[in-house]
Amino acid sequence: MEVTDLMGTAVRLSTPILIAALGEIIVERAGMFNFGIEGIMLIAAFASFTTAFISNNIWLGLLAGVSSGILLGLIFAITAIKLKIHQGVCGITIWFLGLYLSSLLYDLFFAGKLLSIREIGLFPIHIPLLSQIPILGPIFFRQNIFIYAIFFLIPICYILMFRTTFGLKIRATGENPRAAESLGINVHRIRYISVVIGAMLAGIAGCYFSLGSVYTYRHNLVAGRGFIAFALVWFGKWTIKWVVIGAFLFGSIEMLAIYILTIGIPISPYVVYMFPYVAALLALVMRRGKGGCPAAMGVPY
Amino acid sequence: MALPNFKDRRKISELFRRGSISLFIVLLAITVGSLFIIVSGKNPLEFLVLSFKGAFGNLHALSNFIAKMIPLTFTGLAVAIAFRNHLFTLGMEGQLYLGALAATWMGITFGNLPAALLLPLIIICAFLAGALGGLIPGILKTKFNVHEAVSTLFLNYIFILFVGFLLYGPMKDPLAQVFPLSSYISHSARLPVLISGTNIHFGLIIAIGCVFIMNFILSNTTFGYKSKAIGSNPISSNYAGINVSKNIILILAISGGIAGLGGMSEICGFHHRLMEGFSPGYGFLGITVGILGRFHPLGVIFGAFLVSFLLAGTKAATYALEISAYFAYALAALVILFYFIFEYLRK
Repeated sequence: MEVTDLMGTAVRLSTPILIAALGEIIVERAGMFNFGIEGIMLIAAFASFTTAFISNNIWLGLLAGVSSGILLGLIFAITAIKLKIHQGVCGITIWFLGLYLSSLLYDLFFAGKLLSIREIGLFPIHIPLLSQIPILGPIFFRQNIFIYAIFFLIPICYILMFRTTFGLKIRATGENPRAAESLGINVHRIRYISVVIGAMLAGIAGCYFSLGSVYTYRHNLVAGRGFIAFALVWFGKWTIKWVVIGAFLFGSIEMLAIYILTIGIPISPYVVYMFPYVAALLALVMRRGKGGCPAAMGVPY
Repeated sequence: MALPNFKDRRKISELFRRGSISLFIVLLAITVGSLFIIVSGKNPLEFLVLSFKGAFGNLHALSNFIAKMIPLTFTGLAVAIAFRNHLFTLGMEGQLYLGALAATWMGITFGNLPAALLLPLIIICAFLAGALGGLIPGILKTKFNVHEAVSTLFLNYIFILFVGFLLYGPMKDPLAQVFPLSSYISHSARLPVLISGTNIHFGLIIAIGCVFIMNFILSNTTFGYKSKAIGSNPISSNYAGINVSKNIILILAISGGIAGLGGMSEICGFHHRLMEGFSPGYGFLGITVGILGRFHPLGVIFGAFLVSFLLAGTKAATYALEISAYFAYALAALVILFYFIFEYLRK
């Protein structure tokens, strides 16, 4: 395997984590924390696979995945914002619902059979000219549409958060909701909207697994990537730049884990599978200090 | 906060009222869940009858039902202790594995010690192993400001993978060819069966003992008072001279230790050997147990009763009617959601 291939794999592996983490930045900047994104990703992976398999249309699948993610995100928003339940507990509930409802419904539709949408899955598209650039071409421009979406999502999220009034409102809500309200900002509405945006992005990340990566669905397909995205936001101190860098680091660690297994170094796969989780834990520890944390995060208003 | 505020001395009627709310929520979840059963073309009434038969139908079912209550009581108690002090640990599953690992290792290595000496040693070691799984997130929270819910989630993956690593490597039974299993623990390391011919083992007594000990500690000692104060307001507790960090670490460690005991009771009382996936999600179901027990140590027994009905009864019914095995778990998730909606509506 060439180095550029490996780097391309790292980019692919970091994609879903990055998409979900971008959404989570917006959610947390508005003063919410939702580690139910794991559940949202799972239900989106299920819904997109099922719809794509039945309708034979990948775009309908994507739509179904994202809307199911938004639906679960709305449940989170209602329980956390309206019912004012501790957001951590809401997150646990959403995770459980996503994890078990998706597998339950999958069994209901397909009786637990392992099916594939390999024929219609989203495959890598080689972008003319750009894919011919040495080194960068194979890494970035021979990927599937989710990776290209990232190139647009990063600037969109940045502009939304830091260059628009709406972004300012989100950040104000997360820092000091009372002051924000005194300026005429509807705190609840801002929080609802940001949770829905976060759920939408987590939904896209979930679709990546079933539509653009493994082309199938099985129980607990996401396997903790949602939590890693959550940890990444803390590691990146709520800034887009560091989250992007962090996501690529995680992707590289996962790529290394796969690489070590394929070249046959005598090491237990169980130890190798631990890498991303140990890295996530280390990332949280290395963060140290409170700097950058939205002041009102986790506080119901 | 939607978490209930506990008074230490409660009337029996209050206890019944809270119990009936929990029962109502479970029944509501089953009612909503029966929509799924109708959609999948099965008869919900038949499902309910089969669920009751699966839990209480005959001696075998009943013994299975009570045997499943034991680990659920442990993990539910672990959840109750932590959550009532506003520490949202999710590490029960990993701590369960650690406790099971310690028990198995002791049971194999020191197998020739007499039971009267070995069993207490195993119980202590399993508690300590689980407590280690609680100590790490405690230190991460107090020293490094890492939220315990996130760190315990990653630690779960790490601990469970670690057990998997040992089962495929150093601890693998040389006789087991296909499945990764450890060797059997020695007979002196096994918990005695309470009623012969059933699965009901001495772990039940330990579980109920833990419930009452924790109830006493939380309601009658300064530690219980301090942890309650920290749960409701850490900043003012700090001003009042309570060592907040120390108490947070202690609570998480005790919670982890009790989850570890759950793993020990499963190995020494039921499986007698360590295997991958020996727990059908006892750690996570412990959250439902804790919530249904309203985060009170005594309530946990009732919560374990209800969740064990889902795990033993409902699962048997899903098996008989060929409904997805995830149905019982989805119900357990719905229970959590309904509990919070119900709490809100009651106010």
